[in-house]
Amino acid sequence: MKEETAVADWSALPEDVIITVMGCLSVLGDLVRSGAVCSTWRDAYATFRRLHLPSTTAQPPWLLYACDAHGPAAAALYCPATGKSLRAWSTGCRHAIYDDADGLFYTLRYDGFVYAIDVPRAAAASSPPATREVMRSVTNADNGSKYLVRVPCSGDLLQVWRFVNYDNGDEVEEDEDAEDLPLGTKHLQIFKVDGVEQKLVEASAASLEDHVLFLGHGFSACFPAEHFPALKPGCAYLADDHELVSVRKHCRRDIGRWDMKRGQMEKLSGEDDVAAPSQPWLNWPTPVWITPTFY
Amino acid sequence: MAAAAAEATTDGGGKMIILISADGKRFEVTEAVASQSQLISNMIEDDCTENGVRLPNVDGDILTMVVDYCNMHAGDAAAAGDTMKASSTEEELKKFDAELVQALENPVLFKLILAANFLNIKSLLDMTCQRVADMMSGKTPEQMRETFSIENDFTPEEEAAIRQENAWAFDD
Repeated sequence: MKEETAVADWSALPEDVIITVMGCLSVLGDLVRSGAVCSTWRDAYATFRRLHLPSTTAQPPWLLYACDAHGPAAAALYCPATGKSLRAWSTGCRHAIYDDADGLFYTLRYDGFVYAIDVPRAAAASSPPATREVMRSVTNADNGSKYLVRVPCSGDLLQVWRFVNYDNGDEVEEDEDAEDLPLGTKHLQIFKVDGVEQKLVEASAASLEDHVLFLGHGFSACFPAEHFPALKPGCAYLADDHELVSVRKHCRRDIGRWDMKRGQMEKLSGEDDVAAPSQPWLNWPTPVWITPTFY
Repeated sequence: MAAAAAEATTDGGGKMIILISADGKRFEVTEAVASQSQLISNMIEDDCTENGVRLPNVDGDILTMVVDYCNMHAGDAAAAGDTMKASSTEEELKKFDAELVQALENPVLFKLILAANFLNIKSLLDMTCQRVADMMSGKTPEQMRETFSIENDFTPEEEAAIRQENAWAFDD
């Protein structure tokens, strides 16, 4: 009776226990390697991947950066936990989001091209087979700021193109009357990505009237308005996201609330405190949206 | 039934139940302590614990650890009337958990995981699985096999294919 329990057969752990262990691994590479130990762990790993299980330990952020080491206009992902860089894909990337729901990175190129990237598989080979084209190029114009937004509930993927009034900046640089600068968002175009038809479908203001968007430097988010009754539905809350802002010393900030139905920028409540030109704004760092938590 | 319960009551007024290990060792614990096991909690609800709960796949030495863990984590409900236990702070708990989990080695760790899984004690299972994950951290598949004495049952072709699929994770 003693003998049969003397040896621990780790390959015979129940699958749900192995999956719990895998969920505790905080480094992606450890997870992948755990699936190469033996066939029962391999099966558990396959289940883990198939179910898109989130790790119980949060992944540390990965750095997505442009990198010409992998060829012209290539990009790479850097994992700070392991110090490794992975080649990602060829790009003129303007914005990227990570979708918790399907575990994929989505990137948006200046021309409207959308890629989905499966990070664990992204650098498996010299060519990146884990990269999928969601949407092909639709424009040649690299103008304004472009964002990807995942709409909760519907799951729609949006492209938001944000156009800014650039005035002819040379003569007003360092101008003390900076509040006169007409530097600000003049137009927001919102499209639904239709991957099947390979086209962008203009999203009406009405289709987003129950949502609130947040857009800023390298940032996008979308929430159901009912979760935040104090926010104005059908609006995009905007923070600065254009280069000139960081060049000019006392530039007026492009911060406000874009009413999608009216197509107009509105002041945020208490804006006197936020974007008044008389404030001694530093031109760097750029203001960013953050989400405070208790932990 | 009520009389039997009262007889077994030793402290705090909580109803006591008996856990019996595979090798016949008996452990008397309050219902509140035992209820941390979802399995036993369900049995208590179904009213089938009065003759003791037999746990044929948990050894006495492992059940000792499980009962210690549950006593420690029973919280205020179990320790009503026992001020010493009630005052076991979060810090003490953390220290207790850390010491317990650090001391765990193969094959005790293995058996404790199976016990936590069978008894369905989520916090203990999470803690022990985390310990396993820590032991795997930064290791190659071969080192993981050594750590847990697992035999490589892949054919060379299978193993090559697995490595090829995620080559980035395997170049050391």
